[in-house]
Amino acid sequence: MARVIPDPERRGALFSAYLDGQLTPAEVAVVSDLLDGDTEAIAEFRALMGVRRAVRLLPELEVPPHLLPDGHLGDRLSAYLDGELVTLEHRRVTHHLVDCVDCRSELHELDRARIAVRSLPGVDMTATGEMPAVPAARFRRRFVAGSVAAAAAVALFVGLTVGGGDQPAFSLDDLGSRHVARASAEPGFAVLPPSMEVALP
Amino acid sequence: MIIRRIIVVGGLAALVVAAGASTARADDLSEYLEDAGNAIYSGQRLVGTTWDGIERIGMIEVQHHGGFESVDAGSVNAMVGAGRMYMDGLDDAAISFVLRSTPNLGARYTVENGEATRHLGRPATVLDVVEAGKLRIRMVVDDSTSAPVATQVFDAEGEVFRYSSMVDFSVWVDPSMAQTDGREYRMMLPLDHVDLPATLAGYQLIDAYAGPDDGRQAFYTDGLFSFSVFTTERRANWAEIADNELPYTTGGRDYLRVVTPTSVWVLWNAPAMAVALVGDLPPDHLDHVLAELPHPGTENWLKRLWRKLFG
Amino acid sequence: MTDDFTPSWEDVAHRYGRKIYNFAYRLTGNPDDAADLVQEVLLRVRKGLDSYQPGSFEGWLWRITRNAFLDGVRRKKRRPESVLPEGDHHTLGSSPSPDEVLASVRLSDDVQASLLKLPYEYREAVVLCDVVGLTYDEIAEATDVPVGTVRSRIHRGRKQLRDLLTWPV
Repeated sequence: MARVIPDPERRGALFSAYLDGQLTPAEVAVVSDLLDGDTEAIAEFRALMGVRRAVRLLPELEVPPHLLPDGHLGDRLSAYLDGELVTLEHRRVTHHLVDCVDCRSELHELDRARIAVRSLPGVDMTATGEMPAVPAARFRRRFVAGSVAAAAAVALFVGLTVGGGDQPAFSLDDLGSRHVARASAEPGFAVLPPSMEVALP
Repeated sequence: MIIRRIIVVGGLAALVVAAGASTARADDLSEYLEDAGNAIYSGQRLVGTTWDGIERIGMIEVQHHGGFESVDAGSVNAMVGAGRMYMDGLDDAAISFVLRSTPNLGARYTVENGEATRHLGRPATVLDVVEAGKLRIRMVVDDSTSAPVATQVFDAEGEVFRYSSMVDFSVWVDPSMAQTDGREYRMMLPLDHVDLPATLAGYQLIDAYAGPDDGRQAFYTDGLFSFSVFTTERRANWAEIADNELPYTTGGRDYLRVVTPTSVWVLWNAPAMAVALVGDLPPDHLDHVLAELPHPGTENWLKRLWRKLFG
Repeated sequence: MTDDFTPSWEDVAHRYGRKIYNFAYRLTGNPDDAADLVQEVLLRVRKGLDSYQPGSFEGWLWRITRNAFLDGVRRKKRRPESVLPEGDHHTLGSSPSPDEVLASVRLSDDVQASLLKLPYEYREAVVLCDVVGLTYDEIAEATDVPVGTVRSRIHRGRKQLRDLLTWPV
């Protein structure tokens, strides 16, 4: 295939667009050819890379808060945690969470309370069957329940001793994808083999 | 539950890029890593780990573009980058709110320039990452694209325990690869506090997240390698959760370990919690880290009952 | 943001407010102009969101932003180049070492000053690409020129920056 050597202006524009990931595969191949052993081209490429990086390293400025509306999520947060939001609303909430420290922090608090409630032992053994709302309430209610609590404690003891039914509900897949997602935010991570499934023997 | 898949986590956090002239004076590891993130290439990557006689090898099809890497390892496809992970076959992907950690952690390592070489016939440069006078990583960086085309990671005895090599390399990438629009993901909720040390054997606790389930995730890195420590207040039957786990003893303590081509898992139950560590750290680092985490053990049943009942 | 998703006005404000602010700041080097622009754009978005047809939201938003910016420049009857950069000293959020602060401030001052010397079209294209993070297609849609023109403007902008920068990059 005949190789077309672009004029210097077009060559530079190709390099620049290459750095931005904006080339077609055919153009990418041209760039690769141009860089192959041509020291002048490589020098130009590196200079453009440096300029691009310098602009991208400009610190991101915080927008003065008074310019933005106070549109926090309120009760949508609980619905979000419980998976009760329909798709569009769910996406609005997630988009908001990405940018809003206050709502993230509130979400976190709600999540902790929710986890505390969910991890109560033996609750389904109580006569009322009602879940207390916060951990502080659980102590009081348990001992108001008196003999029911004693029965629950025995059941719990058996459960703990035998060790069944209290397995954490996650897989290594869950853990692995979370680690990979977090690690991929570090500089350079994405150049590494990030994640894959291996058929183990 | 026996899972059929093991996710192998991002190996050599180190594969770095050299930009010819600039490498001569650049000694900042994070700068190399930054450059590597911008490389554009695709190909086949052979990865492998040899650890205490266990050998794990994998072949991955990769496309690297726009700060994302898409990976095809036969039965799974994943795309990872910028705090997000999309993986076919799982309902969710995850996103991290933290877009990068601020500390400059590269101080543990220095980068030394090696000689010019060739990889797959292409001009390349050898770079050595040295830790306390000992070679930790040797990498070969493609001159024109800045792609890391081969790496070797060394253990404390100077033996290669992990390697990675492009066996097929191209500057072609599928431009549609980095399309993530419209794909759903699962949020990782950041935690303000986690009950784990701020540093572990030279690794720094960067941030922590809630989940999965009622667990907690703490993310550590030394600027080059990284790992997450997952804890949950319930004890776990790791033998059921994991696949291909083998006993591992270090410092007189017994753990379960899963070695994959690019990472290691260590699983155990400490008193009052189940712990899983996953990351790409070398064996000697791993042993030091494990020594500083809660040790394996069981809790007296009366104490356990008391804690369960009264917190 | 995906194409079939129309966000609420508050979402736009929270999600894009900072980017709009940075866009204006890097084009003018002036925090007051940047604040004015954020307010103006959010006003226009609020009015226009009802009539927004799902399509390329980014393209739509940045067209509004650019028009608001150019209207503001015309209103003030002065070229944005006349504004002197103020530097970024007050905006560094984390706590890096004094040396890092100094280096970072010097470099960013240098880049900002050089940006202001670029012809408007080049500066706009570079800022939309490298500061805002738009794709060439999105920049083409926002600035109403073909993609080829975007490519050439970004490259010429970078080439001129290379000659203008005094700080080694």
